[in-house]
Amino acid sequence: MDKKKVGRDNSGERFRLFQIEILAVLSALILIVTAFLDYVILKRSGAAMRENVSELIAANGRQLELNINSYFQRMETVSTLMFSDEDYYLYDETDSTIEEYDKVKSEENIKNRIVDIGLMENYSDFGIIYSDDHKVGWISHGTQDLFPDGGMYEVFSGYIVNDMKNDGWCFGINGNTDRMYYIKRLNPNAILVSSIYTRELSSVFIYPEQLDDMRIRMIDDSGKIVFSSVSDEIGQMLSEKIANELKRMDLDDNNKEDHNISTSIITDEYLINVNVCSNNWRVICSVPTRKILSENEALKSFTIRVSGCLAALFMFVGLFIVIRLSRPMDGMVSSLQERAAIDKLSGVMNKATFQEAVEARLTNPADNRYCVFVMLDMDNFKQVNDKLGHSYGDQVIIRVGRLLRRLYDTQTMIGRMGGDEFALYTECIDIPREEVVEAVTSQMDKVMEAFTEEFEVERVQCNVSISAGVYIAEPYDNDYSEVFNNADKALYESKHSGKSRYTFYKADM
Amino acid sequence: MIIAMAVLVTVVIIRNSSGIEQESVKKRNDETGIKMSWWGNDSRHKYTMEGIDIFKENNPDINVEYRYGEWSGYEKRTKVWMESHTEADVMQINYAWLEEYSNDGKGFYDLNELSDYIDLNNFTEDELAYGIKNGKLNALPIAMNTHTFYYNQDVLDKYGLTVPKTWDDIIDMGKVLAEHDLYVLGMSKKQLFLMLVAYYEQTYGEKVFKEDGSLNIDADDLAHILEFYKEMIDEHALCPIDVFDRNKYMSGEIAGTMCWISDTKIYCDGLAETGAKVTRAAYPKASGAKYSGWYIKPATMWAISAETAHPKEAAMLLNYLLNDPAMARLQKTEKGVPVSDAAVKALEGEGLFDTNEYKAMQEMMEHQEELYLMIPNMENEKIIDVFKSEADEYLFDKMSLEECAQNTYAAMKEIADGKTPEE
Repeated sequence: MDKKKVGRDNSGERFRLFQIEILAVLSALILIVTAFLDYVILKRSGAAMRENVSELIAANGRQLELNINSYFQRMETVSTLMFSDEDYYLYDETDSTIEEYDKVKSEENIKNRIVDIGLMENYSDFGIIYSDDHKVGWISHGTQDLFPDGGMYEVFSGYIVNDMKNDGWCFGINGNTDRMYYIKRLNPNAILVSSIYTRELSSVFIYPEQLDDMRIRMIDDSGKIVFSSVSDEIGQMLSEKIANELKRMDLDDNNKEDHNISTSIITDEYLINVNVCSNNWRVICSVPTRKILSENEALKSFTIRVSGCLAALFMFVGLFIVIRLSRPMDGMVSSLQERAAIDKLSGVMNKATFQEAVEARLTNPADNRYCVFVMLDMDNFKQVNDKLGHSYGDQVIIRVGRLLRRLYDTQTMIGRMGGDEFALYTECIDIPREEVVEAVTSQMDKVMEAFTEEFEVERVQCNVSISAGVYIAEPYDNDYSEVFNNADKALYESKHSGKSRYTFYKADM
Repeated sequence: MIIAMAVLVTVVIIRNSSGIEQESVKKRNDETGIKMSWWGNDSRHKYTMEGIDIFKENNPDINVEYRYGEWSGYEKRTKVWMESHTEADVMQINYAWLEEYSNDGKGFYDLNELSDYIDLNNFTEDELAYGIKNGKLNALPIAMNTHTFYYNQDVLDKYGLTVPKTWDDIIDMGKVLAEHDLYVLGMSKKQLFLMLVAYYEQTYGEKVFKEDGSLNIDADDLAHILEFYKEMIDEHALCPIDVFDRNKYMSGEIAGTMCWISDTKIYCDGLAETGAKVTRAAYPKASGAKYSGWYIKPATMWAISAETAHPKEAAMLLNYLLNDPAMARLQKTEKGVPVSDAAVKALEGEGLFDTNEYKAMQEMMEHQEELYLMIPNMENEKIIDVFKSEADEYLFDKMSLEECAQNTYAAMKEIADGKTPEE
């Protein structure tokens, strides 16, 4: 019985393993396909993200450039208002031919003009410096203190580099980094100087969609930082790394003087966008590349997790479905196996299966084991067929099988050896032989009694009874034929001794 | 059931691992924007901007934009803002502007209504009274201010001079220094005007302005002022104001200056940095003077626009500017010794009272009974401008004293009486 069960389980296990293997292969396939798709999609999305961020920063960088140009333009325009009247821009304080009174009145007039046109701006300086360093208007103490030994006019004049407009911008004058200056020549001996605090530019460089870690800087011609979103940097030179990238961009960009060009570069470290302002200063937006891709990395991690979850879900659901599907399949397979192994009529093992199973047990001898082999044969069964018909005879066989299955536990193998002949095999472990004999005797008495009871009608009509031969094999008996024959001899003895009894095998039979 | 649970677990995992959507959510800008304005010099601009940065750090939901500029022209700028209703929410104002823009107390916000946000306990009743117009608390004083005289002791020593005590002393000193093309005093237009007022009131025992701001003198009286003004110029007792700049004082071309105590840093400290010895001097006096002629006023004041859309935020900023220890430590005594008790306590704690401003103010306060509360029109820039402009005609011999005095008086009277002077 165990053997039969093991055989059936192995087949089911193999089937399930096969199913799981298919499931695993499918899951692996899904994982590989998903990973491949993820790789392709993420690669493309990473590139797209770089491109989009680059375009976004370029667009915003351009906007910042327009903002600062507008700011520069405003300062320049206000300065040009000094040209609205010759009295303002042609006045030369150094002209010794002008009377003192006229100078006072002229300067008063100019001062009023300066107040009027500079009224609404946050200037830190807005005034005229003459070639003898005489000042009219708002020239702050801060600016004056930069020139303790004079020379203000000379220094500022040196920054007028635009020959067409006669103007220029400068920053970092005598080490001062808190303001930037615009200088406009009014006449050969007078310049208009206006300045603003560089921190004022924070309202110009507002970047509504600013990425974390993005820095906005404006540098002058020399690479000195005029403005930075990190204020500590103001006045310092641009970092070497970014300066080198700018040089590279300059080399790559033949149109660097074109103010309409916005140039971007992405390196392993930075995304850098550069826009050239109207005064040739540059607005530089830089953001660490890792920061740009951080969202893509998050997307990658997210996609991998989702793929993993989906694959796990697929496996889990698949496994569940397999288990659910394998139950009827398993039942079907078992049924087929049983159909081959079990006698259809009696419901017990057929002869071949019984023999195979018993042989399997006998080939594993044990010191403490007694094997009990019983042969059963119905007496006068032929009369049942003759008197009551074959169909009834079949029913009797069915009932015999059912009776035996009821009388014996599942550890006892039951087989139909042919016709009305049945065999039983069971093992007694760790029980002395005497007790085994006693137990078997008791069990056989029950069998005989139960049979008589079950087949009372048939006994009356056809004189049916049952005979049995019992052989209790020695622990090392491992020959099925010998065991079978010995039991059969005992059965033969029962038949010849008057039937309806059981007989234990004896050596002299 | 099991499938449903598996799907649920997967959804939860996916949802929890999805930080992307959260990261892409942009914060809406809920800042309240307010504007602030002040005038002053470089150092004031710098520390005020630093102070605003700290305020913004502490109040990230309030954004403060600012407008600032030099004093010169600032009054005009304020006029533009006030008349066009575009003034800043929080304004540094001059004491005189209370009269000009809020005679009825409605020109600025009544700060009493904002006492939940402004700690008024830091001010005495008398101090609050400076900012009250028609029963409304329109402004709070930052510090008290008056004039002081500083001399370059090295210049005085070089030419055997001592610190002048009378107006005559100043004229006499001028005669000495004229030989070396130097001047005794140099100062700004407003200081000059106020010095001449002091001279007149001491010498002639008569106030130049009445309490209501109208002129208390006539053209003949004004002629005395013009005469003395010209004498000072001619005798090198005073450097012409069109030529004066601080560098002349620093370089020793001008021996002394009269300035606001709050400007001590600019004049006194600046000169000391050149290595020169600086001496603070008492006010010049006329013998037998009935009036001292010198005035005191709140240095500057903080006010809130009557039309502010954000009174609470403006009040928070105003309170920070006046009472916060951090702001007090930045401001130090640049505007004079603070009025606010909290600010004073912060400065005492930091040992920041060892300054020339503080010493000057202490000395002035010892003679407080000799100082009068300034009448707003004394600082009226239009009055000062027409005085200077008309006086030039006499100084440069383009007009007789009498004619100039008549013209100057008429122009000043029109403004003082509230009429626009003819251009």
